[in-house]
Amino acid sequence: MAYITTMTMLAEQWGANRIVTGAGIPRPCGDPNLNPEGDRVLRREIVGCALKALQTEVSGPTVFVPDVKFAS
Amino acid sequence: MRLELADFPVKEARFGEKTAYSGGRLEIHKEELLELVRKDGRIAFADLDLAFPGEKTRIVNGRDAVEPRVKVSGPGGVFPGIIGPVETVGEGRTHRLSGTAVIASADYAPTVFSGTGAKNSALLDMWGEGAKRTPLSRTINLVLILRLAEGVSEWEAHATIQEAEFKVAVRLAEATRELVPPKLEVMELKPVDPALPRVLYIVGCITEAATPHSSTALYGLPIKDSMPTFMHPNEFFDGAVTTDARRGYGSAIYTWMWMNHPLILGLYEEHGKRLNFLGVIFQRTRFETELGKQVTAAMTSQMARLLGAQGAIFTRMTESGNNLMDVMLTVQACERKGIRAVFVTPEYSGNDGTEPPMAFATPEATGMVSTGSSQQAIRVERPDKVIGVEKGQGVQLLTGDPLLSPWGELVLEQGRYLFGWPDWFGYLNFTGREY
Repeated sequence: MAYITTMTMLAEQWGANRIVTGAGIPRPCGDPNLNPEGDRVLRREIVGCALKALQTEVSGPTVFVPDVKFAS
Repeated sequence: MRLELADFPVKEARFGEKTAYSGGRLEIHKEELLELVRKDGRIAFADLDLAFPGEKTRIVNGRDAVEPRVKVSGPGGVFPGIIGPVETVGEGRTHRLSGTAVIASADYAPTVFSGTGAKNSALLDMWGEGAKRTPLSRTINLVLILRLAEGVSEWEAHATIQEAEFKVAVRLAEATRELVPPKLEVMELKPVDPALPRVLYIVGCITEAATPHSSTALYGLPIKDSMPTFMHPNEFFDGAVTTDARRGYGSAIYTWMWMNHPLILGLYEEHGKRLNFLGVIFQRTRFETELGKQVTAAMTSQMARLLGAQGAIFTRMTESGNNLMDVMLTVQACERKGIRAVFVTPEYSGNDGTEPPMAFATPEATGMVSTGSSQQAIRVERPDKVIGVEKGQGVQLLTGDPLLSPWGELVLEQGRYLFGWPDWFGYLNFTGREY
C-alpha cells in the first residue's frame, strides 16, 4: 500500500508503511493554481512516485517525496 | 483598555406588556421584539418562546446563541461590523443580562447539500443527560424561532438569522440602560508584579476557506486565510468574535461562548495574582498544505515570543485532525522557543474510551487537559415540550440526513448533535482519566 497525503507526519504516527507527499488536503494529487499542463505534470510525478514506492521494500513508515516543487 | 461589565442577573423571565428589568425579573414584550425581526423580508415566520433550566424542554433547529448585551458608553457598540460600525471595542461600559441567552432556532431551504459548507442544527435539552453537556441548559433561554423565505442564499441565511438574533439580544439588554447594576466588574489588564509569569491564550480557530462563512468572524469579517491576530480579551466581551449562524451542531462554538469564554475569564481572574495575562492570539488553523501548517506554527510561536510570553494555553474547536495538527505543531514550536504550553481539548477515544484519543501529537505536548470524550453515545429522554417545530414534526440535524423525531427518547451517536458539546473551552466539568 502507498498512501498519498500532505499530512505525512500524521501518516507516520499512524504507521502507514509507504507515505507519498501529496499537494494539499482536499487535492492530494493536483493543484488548481497551476495551468492544466503544470497540473498534469504534478499529478504524473506524484502518482509515479507512489508506483515506485509500491515497488520498494520498507521496514516501517517511510516517506517518499515526489520530485516536484509544491507551489501552493 | 478598561471595560466595565455591568451585570444584571436574570432569575425569572416571562412575557408581558413591556420589556423591562427589575430586581432579577425580566419581562419581555413579545410583539415588540417580533416586530424588530419581521421587518426583514427574508424572514417568512418568526416566533418567541421561553425555556427554563431543569424543565423537560428540548429546543430543536438550534443554530447559534448569544448573551443579551448593550454598549452604554465608550467607543462602538456590541457586535461591531454586524449591527453597528466597525470600531475597536472593549472599552467604556457594557450592560449584560447574565443567566440568559437568546437561542436562534431557524430553518430554511438549503442550497448546499453536503460537506462542511452545508447547514446543520443541534438539540438543546434543558434537563437530563443532554443538559449536563452544555452551559446553555443553565441559562433562561429566549428561543427565537425563524423560518426563512424561499430563495435565500446560504450567506443570506447566515446574515438573516444572526442579525435577528443579535437585534433581539440587544433590545433585551436595552431594558437595563438607565438602571444601576447590582454588580459591576472592571475588566482591565493593569500592570502587575513583573515577577509573575507572562501567559497568553492561543485559540486555534477552525476556518474554512471554501464555505459560505468560514465559521469564525472578527468584527463581522469571516476569517478565511490569515496569519495569527493579537486581540485584547475585552474585545471578546463586546461580541467582536462571532460565528456562522447557519451551523449549530455540537462541535460548533456559539457567539455566547466567545462572550463568556471560561479560559479568558479565568486568566483575567488570575491576572495579578498567579500570572500576568498578556492577551489572546487568535490563530487561523486548518491550513490545507503542510507548508501552511508549518508557517502558522512558526508565525504564531514567534508572535508569542515577541509578546514576551513564558507560557501559553491552547485550545482548538473542531474534531478535525487538520485543526489538531496546526495546534500541535504550534505547541511544539512554542516549546522549542522556550514557551511552556498547556493544551486544553476534548478527546476522541471511541464509544468505550479505548481508542487513541488524538489523531496526531507532538512529543512536546506534555501538558494536556482533557475535557471529556465526545465519542460516547448519549441517551436522552422523551421531552414534555419541544420548541422549534410544530407538534409531531421531525428535524434534520445534518443536511441530507433523514428527518429525526425529537419527540421521543433518542440515542445520539457520539453526542455531537447536542448544542454545545463537546467542550472545547473547558466550560463544563467533564474530563477523561486513564484507569
